[in-house]
Amino acid sequence: MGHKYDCKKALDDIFSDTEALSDDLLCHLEDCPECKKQYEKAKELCSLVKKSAPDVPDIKSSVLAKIEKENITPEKAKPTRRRLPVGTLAAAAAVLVIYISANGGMLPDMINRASNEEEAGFVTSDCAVPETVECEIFDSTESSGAGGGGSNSTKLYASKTKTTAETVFDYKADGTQNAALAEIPQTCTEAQTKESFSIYSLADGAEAEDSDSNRIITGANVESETEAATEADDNYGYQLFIKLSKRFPDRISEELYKKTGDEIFISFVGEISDFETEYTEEALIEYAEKNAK
Amino acid sequence: MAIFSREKDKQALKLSEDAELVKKTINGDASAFGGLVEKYSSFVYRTIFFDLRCHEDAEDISQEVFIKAYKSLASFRYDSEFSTWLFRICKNTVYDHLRKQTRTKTLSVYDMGDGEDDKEFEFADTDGEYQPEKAYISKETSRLVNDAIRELSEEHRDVIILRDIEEKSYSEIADILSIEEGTVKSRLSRARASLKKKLSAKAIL
Repeated sequence: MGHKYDCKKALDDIFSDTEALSDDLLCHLEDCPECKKQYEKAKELCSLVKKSAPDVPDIKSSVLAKIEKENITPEKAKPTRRRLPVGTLAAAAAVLVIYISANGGMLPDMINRASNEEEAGFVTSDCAVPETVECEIFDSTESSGAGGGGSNSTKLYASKTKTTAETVFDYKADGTQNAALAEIPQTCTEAQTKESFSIYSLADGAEAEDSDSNRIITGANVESETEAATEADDNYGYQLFIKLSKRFPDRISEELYKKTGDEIFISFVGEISDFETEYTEEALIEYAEKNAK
Repeated sequence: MAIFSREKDKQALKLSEDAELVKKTINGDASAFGGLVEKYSSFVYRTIFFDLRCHEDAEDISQEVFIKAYKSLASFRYDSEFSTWLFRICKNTVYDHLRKQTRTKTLSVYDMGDGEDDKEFEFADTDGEYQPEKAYISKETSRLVNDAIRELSEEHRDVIILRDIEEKSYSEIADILSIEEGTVKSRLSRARASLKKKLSAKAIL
């Protein structure tokens, strides 16, 4: 036939755009009854979806009425705003309580990601601190959206100005429990098995923007986990709480964060991003075995 | 670094219509915000509806999304699209809602009965004459189609809603979802293929 299209490509293109078909694709459809049939079905599908869409109530009136009734006004912008890469966070990571427990190393790829910190302009501490500190999340992650909560295996690697965490979830991409890593049964429809992310030291009220998603993260001084939760709930998105023990009193500059007794709580508030990386079961088992040794 | 170059680009960009409305709102013109709500209420409501499977919750959460957006307008950065920003607020509000629902162990969002769909559809033919049998088939078909959309993964569901229901352009969808236009097309192709499979299994297609 001499056309550029085979049926597989034709179907891909038909389903990605039912309206603007190329001349080559139209030629293929003329010669291929099966693809033509699929094209008709694709059009029918789009029409059905459109027709089945639920009606939309009058939200404008109710929103404007509420604004007027409760005298709501736009809040003023925070005084400090910084832009820096934060890295990808898993959708499952809604609440984490992290506790620094032991010294340790930093993963090679995380070292690379720690570059350009000063250039990015985020807060640094002048006090003497270990180059890296391996930490452990001892509380569980409470998922949001698809899937439930559960205990995950997470390690936190802290440098002077940045903390990087790596979490291995105790469920596999297909939603079944990963026996090598977890004891709690899980259900999860998303492909979320592992995440790594970075945490930057932010002063109270300072904002940072993730270069990937443009989401804004706000640093906040809080004195307890409850207060951190309240602070986060007043905003939207994931809440990431870090509890630092007095074992590393110089981890964060006193000028930047309040210290309360033995612990410092920091709340970061931002948005949940899509999780993109999938890891194989073999990789997870290998990871678990390696860490068990 | 790339993240700083956008800052420079921002200054050269002409403000979009949405950005103008945002500015007017911040300067005290609440009716300008009405324009934004009017423009995006359908997209916000339907996105939430397909996430939550409940009209009442979708209406409440939609209102919450716009109030949050209104309060936070000062933090809107003009170098991204308003729709992108709003979409993230929308999704995060839904996640928060689902998380709270999980915490309090209230009725599962997956247990919503058919009654939830009752007000979705009008049951009249083109002449405006009520036809019970036709109406039932139409309602049932729509319910099955919406159920199938809900069964899709979130990223497939979002792209179907934005393209096939809200009729956004590929470029707009790319902006809203913060992905490349090519990714929008390939994702849409997979989403539609998956939806077609589900509807074929239900003998609708």
